[in-house]
Amino acid sequence: MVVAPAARAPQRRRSAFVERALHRIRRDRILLVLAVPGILLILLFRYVPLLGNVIAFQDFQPFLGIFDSSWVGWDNFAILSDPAFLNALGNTVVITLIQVVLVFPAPIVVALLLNSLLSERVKRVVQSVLYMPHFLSWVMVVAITQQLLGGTGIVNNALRSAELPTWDVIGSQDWFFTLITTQVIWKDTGWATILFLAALSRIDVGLYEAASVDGAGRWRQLWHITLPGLRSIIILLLILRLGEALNVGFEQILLQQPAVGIAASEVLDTYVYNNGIIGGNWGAAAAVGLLKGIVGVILVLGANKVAHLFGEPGLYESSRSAR
Amino acid sequence: MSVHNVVDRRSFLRAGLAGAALLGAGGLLAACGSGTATGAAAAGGRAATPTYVPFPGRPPADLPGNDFGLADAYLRYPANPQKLTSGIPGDGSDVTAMTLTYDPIVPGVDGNRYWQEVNRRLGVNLRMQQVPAADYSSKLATVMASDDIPDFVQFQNLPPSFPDLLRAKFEDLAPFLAGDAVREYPFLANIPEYFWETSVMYNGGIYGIPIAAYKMVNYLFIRDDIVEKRGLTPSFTNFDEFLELARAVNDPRNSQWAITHVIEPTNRAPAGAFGFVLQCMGVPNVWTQTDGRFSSYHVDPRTKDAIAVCAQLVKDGLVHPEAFSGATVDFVTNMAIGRAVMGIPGGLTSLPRFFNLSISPEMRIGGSKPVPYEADSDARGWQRQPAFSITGIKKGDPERTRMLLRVANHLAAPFGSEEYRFVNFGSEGVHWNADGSGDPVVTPVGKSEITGFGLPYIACPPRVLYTPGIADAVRRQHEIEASMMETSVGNAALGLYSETDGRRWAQLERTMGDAAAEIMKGNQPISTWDDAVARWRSQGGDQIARELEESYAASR
Repeated sequence: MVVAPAARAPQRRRSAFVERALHRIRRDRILLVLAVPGILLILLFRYVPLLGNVIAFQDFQPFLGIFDSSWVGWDNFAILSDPAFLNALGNTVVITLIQVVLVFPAPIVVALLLNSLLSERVKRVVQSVLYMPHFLSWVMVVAITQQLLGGTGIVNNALRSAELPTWDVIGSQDWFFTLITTQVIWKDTGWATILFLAALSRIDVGLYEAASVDGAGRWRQLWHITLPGLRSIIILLLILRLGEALNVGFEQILLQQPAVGIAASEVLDTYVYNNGIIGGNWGAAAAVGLLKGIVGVILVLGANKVAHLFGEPGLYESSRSAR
Repeated sequence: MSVHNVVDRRSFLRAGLAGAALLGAGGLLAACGSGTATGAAAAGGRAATPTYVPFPGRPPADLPGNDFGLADAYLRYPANPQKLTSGIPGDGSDVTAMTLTYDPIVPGVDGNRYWQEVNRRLGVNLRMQQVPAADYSSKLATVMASDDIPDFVQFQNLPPSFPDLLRAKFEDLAPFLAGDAVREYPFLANIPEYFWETSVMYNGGIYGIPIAAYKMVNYLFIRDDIVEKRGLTPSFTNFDEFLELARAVNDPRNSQWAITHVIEPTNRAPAGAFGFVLQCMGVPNVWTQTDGRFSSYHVDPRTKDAIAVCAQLVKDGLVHPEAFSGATVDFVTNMAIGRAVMGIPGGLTSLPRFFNLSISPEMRIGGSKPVPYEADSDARGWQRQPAFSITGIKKGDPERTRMLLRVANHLAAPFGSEEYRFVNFGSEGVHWNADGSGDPVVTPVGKSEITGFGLPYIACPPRVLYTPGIADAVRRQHEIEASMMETSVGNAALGLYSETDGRRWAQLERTMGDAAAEIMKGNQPISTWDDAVARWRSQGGDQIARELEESYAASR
C-alpha cells in the first residue's frame, strides 16, 4: 500500500496545496485507478492523433511519412481562398443552421408527446418503432431512399406508368437539403428522445399535482414545470451540438454525392476526403480539418461561457460556482 | 485546324528507337470510361526497355487484326492447347494482391475450386483482394498510406505523385527485366515494347508490368435484338439518325431507356454518350498537337456543344434516370437486362460481361462507330492508352521479386496455351464443359468463381478478341473495330512528359467532369462551362500544355 511520505517525515514542510492534493489522491485512489484505462484511451486516440495535425504545415505524402515530407509553412492555408472550399464552407454552415433549427428540437417535441401518452404499452411500442431507424447504417438509409424516391424507385415508376411527370428528388440540388434533413430526423430523432425522456422522468410529479390544484392547465404546466425541468439537459446538448457544428453527416452526404453533384453537396468533411484522401492533397486537407477543429473548440467554449453567464451549469460547473 | 495525331504501333516504335523521352502524359483516357495508366520517366539515365521476343507458335487468327492495333479475333479456342510451362513458379509462401473488379466478388478460397487450383498451380498461397472498380481509387489511397502494401498492386487511375510513390514503395524491376534480362520470363518478353514504354518506365527504371488494353473496344454498344424487335434497324449513318433511333427505342413506361449514361459517375471521365458525341464531332482525343502547340479537348469549342447535346439527351428523358448515381457495373447490367438499349459502359471490355449478366438467350450485342455529328464533322474513334493498368510489385529482396515475376510470367501465358485457358476459364468439368468443337462453355460455377477473380489484372498476354460461346458477337465486334481503327485518333500527349500532369491531372479532370455533369443534369447553365475552362487553365491546364510542348520539342 502507499504509505504517505508526509507521515514518515513530518519535519519536512510542505505547502498546504500539496498536502491537500495528496490527501485527495489517497482518498480517491480506487476511483483514480478505475479511471486510468479511460484516460489512456483518450490520450491514445484523442490527444496523440492531434500531433498529426503538423501535416497541415507539410507537403505530406503518406508513403514518405511525417519525418520525410517537406515543410511548407502556411502554404496549405492558401486553400482557404479556394472557391471550392468556400462553397463547401457555405453548404456546411447552411446545413448546420437548418439542423440546429429543425433537427435539434425534434426529439424534444417527440419526448413531450410520448410523455403525455397515458398508456404505458402504447408508449413503449411507439418508442421502439421510433428507435429502430437509429440502428440502420447510412448505407441502408440511402439505399432505402433510392429504392423509394430514386429515378427508377417505387414512386417514380408509379408516376411513369400513370404517365405523370416524374419527381427527381435524389438528383435535385433544390431538394438536397430537405432530403438530408428529413433523413436525419427519421433516423435519429427516436434515439435522441432517450435523454429527454430520462430528464422528464426526473421531474417531481408533485409539482404537476400542485400546479393542477392551483388551476394550471396543460400548457401552463408545460411552460412552467416541464420545460424548466428540461432546461439543463437542453443547454448541455445544444453546447455539445455546437462543438459538432461543422460536422454534418459525412457518410450520409458522401453516399449521395454522385447523384446530386459537388456544387450542392460538398461540405467540409467531404471536401477534406475528396481533396485529401482521393486527391492526394493531404496537407491542405489537414489544414482545413485543423481549422474546423479550432472553430469547434471556440464554439463549445464560447457557448459554455454564455451558459455560465446565465447561471446554467453547462458542460461543467464553472470554477466559481463550484466553490 | 487541329491535326489529328493518328498514332499507330509503328510510330510508337519509331519514336522509341529515335530515343525520344517516351513518357506518358495524362492519367485518363477518355474513351474508355475509366482511366488508364501512362508512364513517365524522369530525366537522366533510363533503363533499357524489355526486349520484345514474340513467343513462337501463335495460332492463326480466325479474323486477323491489323497494323493499326486491331487485335486478332478467334471464334473458338485453338484445338489441343499445349502446356507451355513446367514446374511451379511459387515457393509456397503467402502472396497478396489487390486488383479491381467490375463483377461480383468471388467466393472465398475454401469454397472456390478455381482459387484452390490457382494456388496449386502457382505454388503460392494467393490472397486476393478484389475491390469494386467504383471504390478502387479511395481504397488504393488508403492502402498506399498504410505500411501494409500487397505484393501485387494494380494501378489504373494513377494516384497523385505517382512516380514518388513508386520510388518509395515499389520495386524497380530494371535489374530483372531491362533489355535481354526479360528473356528469363518468356511470357513477359512476349509483351511488345511500346506497352512497357508507355506505361511503366518511371524514375529511369521499370516500375511494373503493363496490362495491355484493347486499343479500341468501347464503341457504342447496341442491343440489336431489342431494336429489331421494334421493327427498326440497329444502325445509323449520321447523328440525326442516331437521335431518331434513340427516340424510337425509348420507352420509360416499360422501364426501358435509350441510353445507359452520359458521363462516368465515379471519375467523371467522358465515357457514355458524352464520349460518343465528342467522337462524332471530331473532338481530339484529350490532347492535340498543331505545329508544336498543345491544346486539350476542354478548350475545344465543340466540347461545349457536346455537353449541351448531352444535357438535351437527359432533358428529353432518353437517358436512364440513374445515370449519374450508378457505376460501370450498373450500366452493363442495365443493358444486359434490357433497361437500356445503347451505351458505352466502360471498363476493360464489356462484351463478355453483357453475356455473364444477361438472362435473355435472345440477347444480341452489336454496335456503331462514331457517326458524323454534322455533314462536315470529321468523326473519329478515340484510341485508348496502350496499357489498361499496370501492376506494381512491392519492394522486397531479389529472391522474392524473382518469384513474384515467375508467378506473373505464368499468368501471362499466351492465348492458345493450356495455361491461358485455365487462368481465364478454369478447369474442365467444373468451370467449363467442352462443346461440340471443343470450345469451353463456361458453367454457372465458372461464372461465380472466376469472373470477378482478377488474375488477368496481375499479368496478362497481349490481347486477342475471344469469348467462348458468343462467336457472332465477337465477329461483329471485330468488324466494328476494323471499320474505325484506321481513322482512329490517339492522344497526342502519349509518350511525352509533364510533371504538373502527374500531380494535378486526375483532380483537374474530375473538376471538369463535375462541371460538365452539373450542366448535363440541368443544375447549371451551359455558360458555366466557360468559367470551368478558365479555372482549369489557370489551375494547371496551361502549365501542362507548356510542359508537353517542351517535352515535344525536346523529342524532335
